[in-house]
Amino acid sequence: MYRRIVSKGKAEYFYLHVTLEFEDFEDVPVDAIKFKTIIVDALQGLFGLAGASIPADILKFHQPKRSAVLRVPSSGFVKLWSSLTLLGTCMGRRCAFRVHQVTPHLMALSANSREWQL
Amino acid sequence: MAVTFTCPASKLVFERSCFLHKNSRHVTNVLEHHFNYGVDILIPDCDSIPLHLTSLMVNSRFFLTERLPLAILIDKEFVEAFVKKGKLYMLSYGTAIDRDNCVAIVPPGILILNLTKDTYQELGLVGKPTVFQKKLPTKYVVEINLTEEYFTPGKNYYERVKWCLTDRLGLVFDFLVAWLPHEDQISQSSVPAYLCNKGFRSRAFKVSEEITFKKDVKYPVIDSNDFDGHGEGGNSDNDCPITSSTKYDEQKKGGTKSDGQLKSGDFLCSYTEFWEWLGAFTCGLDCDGSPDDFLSTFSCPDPVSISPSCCQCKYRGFILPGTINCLIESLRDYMKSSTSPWACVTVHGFTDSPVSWRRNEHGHHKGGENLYTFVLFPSEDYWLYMAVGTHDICPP
Amino acid sequence: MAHPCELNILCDKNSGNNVEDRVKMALSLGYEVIVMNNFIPEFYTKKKKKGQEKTVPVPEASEIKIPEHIWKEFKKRYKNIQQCTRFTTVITDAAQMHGLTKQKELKGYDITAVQPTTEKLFHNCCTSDDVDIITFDMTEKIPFKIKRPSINKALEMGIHFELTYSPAIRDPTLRKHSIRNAIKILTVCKGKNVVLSSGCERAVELRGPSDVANLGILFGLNEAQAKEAVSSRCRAVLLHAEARKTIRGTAVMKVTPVVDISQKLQSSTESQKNSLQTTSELMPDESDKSDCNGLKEDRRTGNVSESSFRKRLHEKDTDFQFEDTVSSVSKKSKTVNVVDS
Repeated sequence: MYRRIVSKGKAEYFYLHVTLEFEDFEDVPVDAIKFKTIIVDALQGLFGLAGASIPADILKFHQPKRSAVLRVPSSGFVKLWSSLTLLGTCMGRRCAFRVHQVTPHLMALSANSREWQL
Repeated sequence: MAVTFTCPASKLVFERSCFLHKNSRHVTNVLEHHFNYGVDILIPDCDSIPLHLTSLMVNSRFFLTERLPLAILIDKEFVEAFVKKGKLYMLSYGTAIDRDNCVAIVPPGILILNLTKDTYQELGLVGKPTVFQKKLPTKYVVEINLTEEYFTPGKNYYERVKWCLTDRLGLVFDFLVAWLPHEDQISQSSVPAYLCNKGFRSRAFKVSEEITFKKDVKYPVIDSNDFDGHGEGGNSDNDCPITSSTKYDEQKKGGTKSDGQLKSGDFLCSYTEFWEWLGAFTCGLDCDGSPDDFLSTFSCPDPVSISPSCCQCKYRGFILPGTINCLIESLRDYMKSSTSPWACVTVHGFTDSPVSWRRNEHGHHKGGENLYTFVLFPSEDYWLYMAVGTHDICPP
Repeated sequence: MAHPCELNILCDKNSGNNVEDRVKMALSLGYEVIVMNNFIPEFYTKKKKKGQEKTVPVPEASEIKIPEHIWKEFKKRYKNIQQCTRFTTVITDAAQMHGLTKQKELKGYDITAVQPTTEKLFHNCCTSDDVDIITFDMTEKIPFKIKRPSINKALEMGIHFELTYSPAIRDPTLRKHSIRNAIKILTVCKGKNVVLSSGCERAVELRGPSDVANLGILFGLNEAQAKEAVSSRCRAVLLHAEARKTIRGTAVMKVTPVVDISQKLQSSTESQKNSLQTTSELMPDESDKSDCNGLKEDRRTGNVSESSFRKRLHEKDTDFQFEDTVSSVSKKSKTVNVVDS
């Protein structure tokens, strides 16, 4: 009847909550497809074709804010994050990815007590 | 060979048990998780949520006391009046566990100071280095039992603590306060009233609520016995002869026949897949991806069922473990009479709480997860997921 | 990640006027310590013919700081923030090392950083008393070989190596050089005494502390070292700088302001007694309070031995071991009382 399973160590996936920002808070329209292309290009720019093959899924995309929830297998987690960090320009404009939250549990993204304002 | 980098570890504990079982620890698991920031409830096949469930959450109050010096907390008057006469929960607000000093009081009257190295060295109270950084600790934990007999004015230890916490280092915090008195007649707001007398302003807050109903939701089919998704429902029944109540089993079998979707030997959704789906649904993600999709290959795990109306409630605030326990009890009652195949309650702990379960230290590595989810089945079985951050101590 | 620190906000003439924007961005990303960096490649030259020395005027440290009224605005929004100054120069000649001690204006800067150009000068820098950070030009290949003995010396001296990441963001070619240089340095020093900083020219080139820590993993640090490289290692740099200066003068007294809540605690007479005391603290180096004790004794006997102090300091700087912290702190509080009475 009673079962307890403890899983430690590598999780299958990692989830990142990211926003794409442009210099001077410029409002550049980016749609989900373009967003994905930017991410794949960033991976390819740093890790070449092997990097571009890392399956980064866009689980949710909020177009007005250009924010997204990404899913990536844990083996590619550091690679994806560092590619996003080192991305300096896209579409001819200076930009930066801001990573708000990273977690191996998707559930944890639904509440962020650090952003809680009373 | 591809270059690989180490990625932070994750910790997830999964438990399957039954509420009716005499050794079931669901109550202690809830009560020992002290600082809860949010509760998410998800009930499929539900078009109206019973009022007594929601009123329970909405009626709970908490206070925010501003700029409270620590010396007040060890005041004998305060300890006698509140710490010993009820369950007092206090948590410093607006402090980040990985940067600042964090302070908390957990029942039964333990004052926990999670201090930065600077403060710890200037303070002069004995504590332990954080368990997360063994080599070069940057944080130290001091625990003081306020209810201890020797912790009383006149005794050396008390005077020492008092001297350390008074004035010198400017240890002043905003505190979230909630108090559950042992006696019902006493009002919860006596704590802020007392502090107000001492000259510290408090503001009262209610737990915020957000209820949404979603139409035509695809949700995965799960079986309380078959958590690893091998589709061997019959076998697992044999393994666990105690399995009680077959209401849901019958339903499932009935459903199986009429839909023709499920055949014996089909793989059901495993507990990890369900956990991911539940997270996705709670975050409001769309689960329509297909394996060859350009954007996302994530989809609702097979086999799926469609719910005409799905109820989702979000509560945010400083929620007491006792309230959550009552909520789970009422949901158990609700499940007995409803047609929902399961119901979920997810409880998010504070990212910056110094403790997760019991007095286990909590930290922040890449993320400060400390959360748990109950999946309730009509058969009074339950699944419990408990997730903590990378370095945290495994939940009990 | 205690006290995330951005060690390199360039604010020389060439970097434009957007210093405030960059500081604002750094604070909003969660940095608590901001170091304003004044980069002057050639500040000291020795004319060979006449043997005359020539120095380029170096602005006072206070000139490159964010003006007080703006900083106050920041302080309202972000608590526990701190700004420091740093002077960086390129070393092309051994005589310039000498110049570091000579120039009066440099004393106003909190941190001194150097960028050596040859192997010999690199070794000189590693053994220098006047250097806190050795930095490298990440936009091109390091033009010399980095040798282990020099590094060992630097570790012993508590000198840190700085890797800047913003060139890697600016351009793919620079990125190649940056990563190569970073890996080259990290393989020799095995991830010890490494700090990561931006060296950014624009606000958009700044990245958050955890992003940078993750970048450290890419460069070859392990997870713990990567986190330290943006937090506690930077703190070690600041403490090293502070200690380096105080050693030339005498110990510094810091008076901690007393939070007066005595009226609110009238039930206790004890607390009133305490609140009347002004708590003062000796702080020649903040990294280790137990050192205060030792230093004070040395002062009493009248021989602050520079080498012994420095040795003690570096021991602490490199491995932060405080086995009997509590006992030493309680001793300290006694000595404080002696000072008071």
